Amino acid sequence: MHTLIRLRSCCAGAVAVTTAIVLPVLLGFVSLGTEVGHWYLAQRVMQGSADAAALSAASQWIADQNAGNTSSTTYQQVGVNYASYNGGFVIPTANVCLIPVSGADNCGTVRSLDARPIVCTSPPCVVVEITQNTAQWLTTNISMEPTSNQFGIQSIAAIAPILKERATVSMSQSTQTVTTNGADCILSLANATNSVTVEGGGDLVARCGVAIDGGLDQNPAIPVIGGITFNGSGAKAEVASLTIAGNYTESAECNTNAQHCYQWNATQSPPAGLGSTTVLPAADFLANTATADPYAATVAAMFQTGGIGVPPQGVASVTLNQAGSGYTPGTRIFQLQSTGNTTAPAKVVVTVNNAGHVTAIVGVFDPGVYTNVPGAAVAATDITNGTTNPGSGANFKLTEGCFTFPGITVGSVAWTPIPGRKYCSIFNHGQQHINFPTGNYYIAGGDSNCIGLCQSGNNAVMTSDVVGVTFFLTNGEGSGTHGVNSYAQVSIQSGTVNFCSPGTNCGTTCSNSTTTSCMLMIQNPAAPGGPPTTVKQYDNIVNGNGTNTLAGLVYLPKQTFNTVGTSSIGGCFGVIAYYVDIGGTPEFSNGCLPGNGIGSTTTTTTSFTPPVLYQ
Amino acid sequence: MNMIRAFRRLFRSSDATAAVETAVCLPIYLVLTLGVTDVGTGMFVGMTVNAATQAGAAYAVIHYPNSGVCASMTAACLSGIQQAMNDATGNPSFCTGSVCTATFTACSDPNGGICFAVSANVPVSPILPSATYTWATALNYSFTTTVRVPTT
Repeated sequence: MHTLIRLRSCCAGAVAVTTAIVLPVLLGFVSLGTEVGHWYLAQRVMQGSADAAALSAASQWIADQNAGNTSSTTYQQVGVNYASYNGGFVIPTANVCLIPVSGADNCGTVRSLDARPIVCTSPPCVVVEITQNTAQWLTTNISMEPTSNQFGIQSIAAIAPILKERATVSMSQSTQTVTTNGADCILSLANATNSVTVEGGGDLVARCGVAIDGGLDQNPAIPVIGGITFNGSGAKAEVASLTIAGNYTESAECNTNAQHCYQWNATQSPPAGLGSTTVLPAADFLANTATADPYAATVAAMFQTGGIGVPPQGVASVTLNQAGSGYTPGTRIFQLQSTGNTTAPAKVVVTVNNAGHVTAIVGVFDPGVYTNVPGAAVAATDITNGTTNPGSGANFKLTEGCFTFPGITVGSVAWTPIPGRKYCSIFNHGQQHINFPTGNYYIAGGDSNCIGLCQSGNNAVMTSDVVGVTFFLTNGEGSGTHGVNSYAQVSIQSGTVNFCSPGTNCGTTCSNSTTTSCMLMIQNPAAPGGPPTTVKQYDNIVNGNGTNTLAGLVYLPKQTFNTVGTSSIGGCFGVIAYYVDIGGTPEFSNGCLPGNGIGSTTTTTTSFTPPVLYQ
Repeated sequence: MNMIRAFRRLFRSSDATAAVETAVCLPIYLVLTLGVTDVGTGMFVGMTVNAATQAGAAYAVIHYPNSGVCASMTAACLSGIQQAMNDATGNPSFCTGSVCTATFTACSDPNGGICFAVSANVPVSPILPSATYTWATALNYSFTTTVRVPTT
């Protein structure tokens, strides 16, 4: 008792006692401070771990995409592994997800762990989320921190944060489209073994590829049997390449009975390529390779209502309604009064008698361009010699229809072709030379002399302006023989043709600047067709005894392109036809086809920037 | 005899008791205070090292593809990595000496690939004698960030 009293009143040892009381509290707060510091360090390590994991996962994802394994989830495994490898003392478990460019992501777990919105302004992004519950460290580790109910301090366990660290890596996607121009200049569409036929001693010379699609691009369900047939041991093809959609071997296609396929050789003297002795290398014989008709949709649209291939209305014939008076006697050219629905009024050649009255119609000089040819009589003005001449009162009744190509004169008046008009046919026969001024020529249905574009006569010549012409071959009107079911064709039986399409400048290249650029002869895809027969009803023939030049695309998607005899066709010339039947020595080259040519390939590649961390 | 008496008097005396007790307790407080300072310094250095290696690894990955400067571990690549590490620490001379290293080796994990391992190793001088921390493995703070790129 005495000792206790003395102890109470003793002031010695005060510091030691205070220390003894304060030290546990002090140690507790030191531990707490250290613990909080540890959280920050752990957070930093987790962030580094998440960053490293995200970079590794993104690198893996990019490699998988580039390798075509677009749905691979290896990136998640890599992310989890590399979060762990970089965790130091934390050893976190990571959640890895992807924000794709479009469509749903797989970040549900990440969002449930961490409510912060995921920022990915330039997808795709790889997101790595790492969480740690620091309360677990307190409860599982021996700790000197104040815990529940000590000193009235709220449990540290309750305020111990769940550390959440997220790394987002962006791999900005970009897409490049590379189009390689086609190397082919002949495409046959028929699914028949004689899709391309070389007859007798014919020699198909092409400084470009020949493609046989067998209808594959139009109807992929059919078995493709389209191929090339050589009729006669002398038949040859000297081509840069042969591409067939069907399952052929070079020996089956090229070596039957004799060797037929040779490689086009630039060093041969004109006509270039003739006489090549180099067998077509196996590398240039491509089987099981489809070649789409690149112009199918474009041309089909041209012949829809309002399309550029649809001919305008024109005046087929006129009858005299009122003779008028005061006109200059002789053979005169009258221009019909312009009405509201014409952009180019028709012109007629008439005979005026000595009394100044119109007495007879010689013929239509210009069928004009009408949206609707008027039914009522139309007055006219004498425009002979390009001036307005005296006279009045004459009027004419007009009949709508196609215009019969008059040749080089209408009556005694010299005539040259007028572009933009609807012709029944264009038939150049005899000795004459007709030059076609630049523009579009519509040939609708044909007539009894010629169905389409025809020429006969050894000295007959047709040429075009250098700026170029396009012939649209389409159907006629009405129910007659040359009506709606009759489609214009090409029949150059003899003579010489020298045509250039717009953009080719009659050279070996073509600039695509207008709708009709590089298009020379375009047949309506609604035309009937079928295999070549002895009747040759669907044959479009380019023969001739001169050196023909065709620059541009000849497009006959339902019919046959046929060239036989001794004709040769030069120029920068490509053909798309249902059947191709070669007898002569035409030379084809592919420099002046519309767009990217036949057999072009478009490859789209997706690339990603190296992974970049969002800060 | 005088010596013995003097010790007895010293022992019984309550003069300067506070000073004596303070002298006894002060080392405890000092160890506590300086120890906390050392731990805090260590954590700071640890964070710095971690941030630096992570920045270096990020640099390497970004400059690996498309035949970039880090397509292989060249001097230029190492220099870029070290520059990135300096920038991340805010200390332009962080990588002075042999503090920062980077290697470019095949990864050991099942997915293969190439691993950039970027390390920083920073020695610290504690205020308390180093012997105080013999329980800790070393007084170097080091960290290695490993980032993997697939072989192309």
